[in-house]
Amino acid sequence: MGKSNKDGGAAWVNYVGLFILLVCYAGAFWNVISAKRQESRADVIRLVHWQLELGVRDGLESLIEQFEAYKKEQGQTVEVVQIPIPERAYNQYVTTQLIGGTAPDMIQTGMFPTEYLGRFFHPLSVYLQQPNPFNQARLNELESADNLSEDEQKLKEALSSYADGPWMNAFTDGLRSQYQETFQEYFGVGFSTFTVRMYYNKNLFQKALGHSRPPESYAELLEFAKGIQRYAQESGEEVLPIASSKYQVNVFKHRYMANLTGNLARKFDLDRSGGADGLEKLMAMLRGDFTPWTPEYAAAIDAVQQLAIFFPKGFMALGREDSGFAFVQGKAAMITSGSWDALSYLNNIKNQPADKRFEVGIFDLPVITAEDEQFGEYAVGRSSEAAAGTGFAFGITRYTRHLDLCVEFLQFATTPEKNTELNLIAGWIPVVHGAVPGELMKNFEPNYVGYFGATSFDIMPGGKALLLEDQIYWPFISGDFGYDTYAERLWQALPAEAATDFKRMYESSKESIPNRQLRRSAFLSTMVLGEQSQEARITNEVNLQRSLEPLLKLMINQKKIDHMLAKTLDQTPDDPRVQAFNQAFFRALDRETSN
Amino acid sequence: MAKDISLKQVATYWPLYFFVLPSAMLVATFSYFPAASAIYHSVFRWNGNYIKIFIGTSNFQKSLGTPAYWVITLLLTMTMIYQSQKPTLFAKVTKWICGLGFPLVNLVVLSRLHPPAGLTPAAMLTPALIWVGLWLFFRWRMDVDSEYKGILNFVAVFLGGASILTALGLQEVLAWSLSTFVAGLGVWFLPSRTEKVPMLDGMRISQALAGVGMMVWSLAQNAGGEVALWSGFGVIAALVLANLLKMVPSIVTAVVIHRLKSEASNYWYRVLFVVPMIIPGMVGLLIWKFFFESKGLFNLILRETGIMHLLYLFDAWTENGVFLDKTRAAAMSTSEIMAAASEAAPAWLGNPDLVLPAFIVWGFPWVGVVGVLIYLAGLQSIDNSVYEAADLDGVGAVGKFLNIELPLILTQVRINLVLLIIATLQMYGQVLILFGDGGGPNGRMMVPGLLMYRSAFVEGYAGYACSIGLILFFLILVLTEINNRFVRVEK
Repeated sequence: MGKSNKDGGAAWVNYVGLFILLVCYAGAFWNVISAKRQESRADVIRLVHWQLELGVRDGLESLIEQFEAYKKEQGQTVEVVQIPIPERAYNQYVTTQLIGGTAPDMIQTGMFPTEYLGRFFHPLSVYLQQPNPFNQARLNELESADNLSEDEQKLKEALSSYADGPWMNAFTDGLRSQYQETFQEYFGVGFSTFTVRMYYNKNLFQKALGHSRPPESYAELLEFAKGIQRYAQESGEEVLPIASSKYQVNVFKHRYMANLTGNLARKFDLDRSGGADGLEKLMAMLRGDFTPWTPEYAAAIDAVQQLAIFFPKGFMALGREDSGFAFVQGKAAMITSGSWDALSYLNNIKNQPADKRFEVGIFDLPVITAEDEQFGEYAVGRSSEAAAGTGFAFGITRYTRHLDLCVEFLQFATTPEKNTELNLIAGWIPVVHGAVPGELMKNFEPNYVGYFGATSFDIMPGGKALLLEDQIYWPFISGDFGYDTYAERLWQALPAEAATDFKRMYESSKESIPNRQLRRSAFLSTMVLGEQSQEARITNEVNLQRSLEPLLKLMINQKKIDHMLAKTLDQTPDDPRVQAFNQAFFRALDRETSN
Repeated sequence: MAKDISLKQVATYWPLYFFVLPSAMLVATFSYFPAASAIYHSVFRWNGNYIKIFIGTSNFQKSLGTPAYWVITLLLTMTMIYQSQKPTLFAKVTKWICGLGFPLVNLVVLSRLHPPAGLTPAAMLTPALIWVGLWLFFRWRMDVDSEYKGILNFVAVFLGGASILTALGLQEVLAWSLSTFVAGLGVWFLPSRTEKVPMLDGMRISQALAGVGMMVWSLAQNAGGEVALWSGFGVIAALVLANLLKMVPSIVTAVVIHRLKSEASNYWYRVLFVVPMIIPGMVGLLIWKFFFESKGLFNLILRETGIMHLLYLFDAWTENGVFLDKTRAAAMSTSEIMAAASEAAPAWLGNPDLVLPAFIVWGFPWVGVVGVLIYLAGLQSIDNSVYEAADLDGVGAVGKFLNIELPLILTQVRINLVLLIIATLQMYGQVLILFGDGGGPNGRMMVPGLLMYRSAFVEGYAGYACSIGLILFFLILVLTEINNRFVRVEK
């Protein structure tokens, strides 16, 4: 390159970098300015959630627009910004935002440790125990109107049953599912509820089986799946009986675990809390009452394994999206998923080429009944979906500068009409009395009648034993080895992981006591020494009363652990496998505690 | 070149330091502060927030295991390395006592903790293949006319002994440490006249590194630390070794582009290699995921090329049970095995035995964009006169690569090597996206980074996660130091 060329070229080329830098700085500057301007011209509240399913963001956006319009009528400019975060990054995002003190105003609860609730979220019982003003206003409006339509009449009846009472009474479960026993407090308000069903391709059923009715029993589900497999082999058409992935396997597993091990859960429930907690399950393992060879557990695992032969090869490495695609493209006859996927599935099927579209049927996962030849003797009955409760719940973080506005938004969203509208667009099930589910969601209405509770080898949520069971289950359900190997491997590795979980539970329980005692002392001293308004005094009294129960529970829990351990150790198990488990567990626990 | 300046000059030029200040503050805030915080929190039981209880070295004990075993092994090794530098009789005796102490400690611990491995074709084959490979390497590098070439057979005999010891039922780790010790006796105790043997230093270094490797393996097996962490290091070790081989295609590609005579072609090839950089990594990840699916392209290629058939035959012969059920395979004829292979569609990412090989194959043909560009930059700095001189001497294409290009881009190779080791040790995002925080089938891909993430964000044990982070940090530091010492650039 000649000198003259170099000089001439460099004259402007050298400024390209500077130009890009300036553009970037200007962009960043503009971003900050616009955010500041946004905050100065309006009260901005941000809400974060992980629901990326079709319709949900639209539903929320519609709700937000209505709320903003309502506030404008009131003379207040408000902007509500929704921030959707992918499910896999949600826990990490929320954790860092909460700990870093930069969390948004409202956060969808779940996917993060429950202890964050007590630490970073506003308690909501004060508001939930008061009537929701939107419901009261609407009821007054309906009562003063003369000619009510049939729907309005129904709404009036529903509202009159709770509008003047506590806000929490508006929810189908009385918001029980949002109640945090550890904190004796409510931290979230739910917008929707969810159930799990099976979707099936009616056209494919017709072609392969000669009818399009859903299976009515577990045996029939297997039979239909076999029929579709046979059809695929004979016709050469590439269709699977059941589209599945790790996500769907867990759905089947939980359902059939509940179906077949519910009795075990009640048997191990020493404190009569209604189910077996991690500690009670561990005691059952040490006594030898619960091992991988326990017939109920083995039956539940077997029930899923018999279905797994109809899943695609390598299903455990597939994602929920992969199995969903296979179904909507007509490559699978059935798939199990929740009501949250209904709208996405139907919309995707509608967008297929005309010759690939099909009619979708929805049925509940068949229950294993006492009549079932294989597993009937362990069948408890159908499992209840009462625990589904209220989901898609939002809590208000302590970092918010607009607490009242956030509460108002939650109240606005949980009026019957708004709740209906949100869930109609989202394709989900409403949770407020008087809200009407869309036509599609009628297939998903929760079944509240039935048993609940299940038993598996998890000791604590997110713990090591749960991880171990999950890891060994993967190759087993994929067909890499049989049940004996699965049981042996699980039982051999479980003591060390159970010991780690046990130590962590024990520590966590023990360490909570001084913290709670300190908190209670603070309430007491405020009450005795502090000068307070009547309102603050009442709140303090309520706090004081509430702080006693979990404290007592924790103290009793320590005694319970000691008692249960002593009781368990008094009994010498006969089974050499259980003896080996005990030895390995206590050896591992010794090592854990010596660290 | 940076020069030291006097204090007097600082008084004049101090405003210049303000230009460095923003960068220094950013690095301090986002790199050094978190690192210091991790060191501090590694001695606490900390949930990332409000529970913070001082627990001393417990986090490290949980991940590393019995301190006594570590201390004894490290003392023995350090004494051995220290004494190996000295020519005195005392040093020699101490060195060999320590060298022998290492397998003895292993023998005591192993006999207490583990049953013998037992004779399996795989147990015999693996060490034998590695040692024979090493022997072939030395044979290739040594002048065949050397009067000391008999030493090569000596290497093969001692090093191959590990496979025989394993086959006799000795634990693999013990067999290897005994063999390494005996090989060390041979390599380090050669008569002084053999000091002229070419590559002798290389052999000694290899033996010393193998000894350190044995030490780490033995500690991982026997010290009783976090099993998932150590199995994760095993996975990482396999991936690092594979990644070393994966560097070769990038070097070859860079050399081929560099040698293109046409300037325009050279330019366009470089552009072609830069373009894929704009494709998000996630897209590549999903493409490879589909590729490895049971009905994916990978299985099709393996079946069509006959590689699948070879894999099946090998699996049946070694009785590994990866593709075929062991008992079923024993009863199958060769034609039946071939027929099974013709229809085979293994799920590479869903099988605990295949997931690691799948990660090794991942990214084939392993031409890394950044790597190619770095090597190209190095190659372009080679003066044309060097090539002209080589042409006059009649050096061929391969000769030019081995004697000119490779030695002159060793700086770039070293940089890439360090970056590669660091990236592999820290790797977990790909596993997290593919399999979630469980580590995939049977937890096989629970790499240390993922365990650290899981401990902090799923289990709420951030202090323990910090201790894993520190262990990773020290390992990276040691490996980088080894790399800097032994990958020498002699221009």
